Amino acid sequence: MKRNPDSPWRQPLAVIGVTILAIWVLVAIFAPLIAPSNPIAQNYPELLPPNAHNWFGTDSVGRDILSRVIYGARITLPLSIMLVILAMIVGTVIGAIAGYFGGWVDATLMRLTDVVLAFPGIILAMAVAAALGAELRNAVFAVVLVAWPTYARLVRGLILSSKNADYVTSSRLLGASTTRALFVDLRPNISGPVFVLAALEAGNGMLLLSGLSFLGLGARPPSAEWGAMVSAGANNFDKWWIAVFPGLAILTAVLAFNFLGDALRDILDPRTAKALRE
Amino acid sequence: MFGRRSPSEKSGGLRRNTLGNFIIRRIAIGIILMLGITFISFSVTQLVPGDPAALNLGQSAMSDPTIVAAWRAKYGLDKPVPEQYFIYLNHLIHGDLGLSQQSRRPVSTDLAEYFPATLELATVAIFFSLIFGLLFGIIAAVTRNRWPDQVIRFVTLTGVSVPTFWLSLVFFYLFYFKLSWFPSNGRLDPGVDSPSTITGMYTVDAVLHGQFALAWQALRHIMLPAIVLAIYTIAVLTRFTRASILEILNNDYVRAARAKGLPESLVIRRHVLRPALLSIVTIAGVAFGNLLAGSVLVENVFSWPGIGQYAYRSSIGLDLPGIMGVSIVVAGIFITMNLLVDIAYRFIDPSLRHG
Amino acid sequence: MALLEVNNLSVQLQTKTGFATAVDRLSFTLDTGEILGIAGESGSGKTMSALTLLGLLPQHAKVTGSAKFDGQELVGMTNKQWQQIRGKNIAMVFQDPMTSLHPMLSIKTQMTEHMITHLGITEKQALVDAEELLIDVRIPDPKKALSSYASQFSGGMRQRICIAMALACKPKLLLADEPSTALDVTVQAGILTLLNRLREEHHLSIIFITHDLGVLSSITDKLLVLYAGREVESGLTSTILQHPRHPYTQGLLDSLPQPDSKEKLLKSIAGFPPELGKQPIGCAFAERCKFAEPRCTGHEVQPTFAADDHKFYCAVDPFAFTESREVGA
Repeated sequence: MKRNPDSPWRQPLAVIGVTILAIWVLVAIFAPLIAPSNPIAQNYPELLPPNAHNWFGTDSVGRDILSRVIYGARITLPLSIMLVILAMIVGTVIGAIAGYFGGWVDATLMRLTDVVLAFPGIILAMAVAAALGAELRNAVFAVVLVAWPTYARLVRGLILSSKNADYVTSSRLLGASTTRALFVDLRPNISGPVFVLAALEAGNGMLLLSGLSFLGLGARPPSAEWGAMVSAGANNFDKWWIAVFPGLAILTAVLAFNFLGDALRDILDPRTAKALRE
Repeated sequence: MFGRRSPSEKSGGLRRNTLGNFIIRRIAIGIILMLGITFISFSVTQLVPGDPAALNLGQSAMSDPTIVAAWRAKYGLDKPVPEQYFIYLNHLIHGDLGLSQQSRRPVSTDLAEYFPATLELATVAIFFSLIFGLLFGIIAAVTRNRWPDQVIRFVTLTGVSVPTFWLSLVFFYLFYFKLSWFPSNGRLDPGVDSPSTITGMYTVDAVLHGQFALAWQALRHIMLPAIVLAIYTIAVLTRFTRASILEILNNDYVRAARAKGLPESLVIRRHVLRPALLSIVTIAGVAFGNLLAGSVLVENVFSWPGIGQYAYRSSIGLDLPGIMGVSIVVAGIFITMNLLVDIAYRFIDPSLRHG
Repeated sequence: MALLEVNNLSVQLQTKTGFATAVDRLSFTLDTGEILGIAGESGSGKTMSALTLLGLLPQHAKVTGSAKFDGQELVGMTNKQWQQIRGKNIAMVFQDPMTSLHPMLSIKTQMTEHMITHLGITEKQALVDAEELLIDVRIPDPKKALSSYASQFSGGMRQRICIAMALACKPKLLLADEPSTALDVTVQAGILTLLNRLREEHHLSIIFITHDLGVLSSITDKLLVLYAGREVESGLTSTILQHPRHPYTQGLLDSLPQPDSKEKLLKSIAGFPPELGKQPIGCAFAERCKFAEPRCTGHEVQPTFAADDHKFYCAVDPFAFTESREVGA
């Protein structure tokens, strides 16, 4: 392969990923302009297969599925990004504290991450979401609760490996504070891998979130959340169009995140790329 | 912790006890993790803003304070929170996972009934995962950066991106409803009696009873959900296999093996695949734990009466002992698998065994 | 007839920007029982030349010129043909014994697998031979060693095992790529003594590659000094050590620690060798050379023969009339 590995734009997967995401973002922003119908209005006959007027058909109460998929981008996409940012913040802070202070702080925090990682993720999320009440907000919280340990581990590892680097040591010898060490000297080494992990994890977060909605533990009807829409298709499995289109929406969005993350990981140096895989 | 020894260190001596110490330490960590799991499970139940009593008792019963108090006392809900945790822990140690508020039976009894179905499903799925994950991974590594590798990269990325619950529906629609390649929902055809229970896994039980037609039917029923469940794991194992083979190919010892004039097939088989397989087995142990948990969404679509279904129904019905039971059992299996794999790994890998 | 005749051998490697010359028109001969030292800094093409003689270059490398081993042309051989040569007629000992032994295969397997492949002997016979080889390289308790794994040995012991492994099929030529560099000094001396003894007992020809002229001076018969993939000086080891004519060779010798030197600091050569593929026309060392003149670059430097068997590539020749150095080793 002849490509300049230094530029993300030379990676076809990254370009495809960014393009798909950009399209979804535009769809979300301009949903009212693009959507042919109101996503919750029961304007049409029930269970129409895809046709010239309703391109994606209609659901069991006569709503236009295309419009619902378009409006769904306004729910699933921002929530997934939000939960990734939350998990990233929580995980980074915990990992940074563990890695920087070491000792019993590190031991305690790392055992905690081990415990959460040992938990069957989806079942813990189900339990939390159910306990808090079946609401989209609680589902997001549940996913964050399951997702943060990956970041904590990564950040801790990165800090441990660069904490004793000469430039950090010399900065400390010059009297720099702990905060300075964490935020000025170490940050550049950490932010790259963390953002790549975020890209890779965004897809997983979206899958888990829509999975919870599919199970009825997240978005509730008549919300046009994609996972909940697929769930509606489960009740009419012979009307394939009800589930297929929202599912494709999830697939393309998750795929875009994964393409992007995968391509970005290739650009990182092999050592951090390895840390990301583990 | 287990860093490489410096070249000047003498061999021998270090062999003693390291493995034993390692196993003991590893088990201790496993126990700490399990305690953490129970603690988190318990904490989750404390999140509930709703009143489990209200959910489990009818309207009329709720209006009678004595019934409500009796119900609370029955489940230890009238004690202070820390005490509730120790009561719970004490019960757990004795194998008591509490009473399911939905089935009114001990959770352990419920799980014993539901678990074999999931175990059977996950076993078939890990079987598929290993076969195809290894196959595709080796192909991708050997054809590195050429078109088969690129195709496999694209397909595996799609594999980890596809929502399992959606794929379940799509496969169900296509391969059952449209093409009739596979039978419908459930573990057996409607109206067919299950084989009498030995392991609880229908295929195994039917074979043990000599009911081969029944075993075949059970196997046909399990195929479709197992394939869907395996897709994600196949993709993960493919990528992992490729990465570990490529990493090993970069090692000096592979070049040294080639320098000895060994046929390339022998170099790959003995010097590359053997160490690669070891790390793949490690990840497969972890993957098996994930398959057990990941079955929730698949079981839901295929009406597969396993612990995934049970967890789903428990969480919808806010039956906390039920879902905590599932969490603890799956986490326990997960931790045990990791423990066994780690220990096995140190037995197999001589450089760890002696180092 | 010489055992190995290398003529105008060039190697080009594929890089991001195209092909870069790693070895540039190298020529030398090696007789049976001789030890040739190839010296140079890292990146001088010394390892590449060795890998070329084993057909182990990275994919897409271009090799031109000729390398005749025992009358057989090596350049352009197929993979199948290479497999017949590698390990059997030409064997190699690598730099780092910590990484060149397989961590998960027993010494037994690694010692015998190519014997079984090349010599067509039974595993049982191969084991007997392997044990003898281990005795030959002074491994204590060879029986136990055979059933052990690499991690149970120290670096020096591992390198002895690697040497035994390389000698297993009685090769005529041994390529030793910095075999002692990764080891402690005392262990290093042991390896050198071992190689020297094996050369005599087995009538082995050795190409010994290192950046350390001190090591080469003690065991080699002939020297070839490489810089940026090109020969800069070659000849009998004793001659070159006494009277080096190329400023680069001089610089390498000056950078050796002298036992009775009053100067505490070692002299190092300032600057870095040119990047792969960016070698200038003319003398590649000119930009680091304090004797450089404008005529050094721009056109090919012609060889000067100081004696029949002492050749160097320097147009200025600043050391033509300096007196001989004392040879320390």
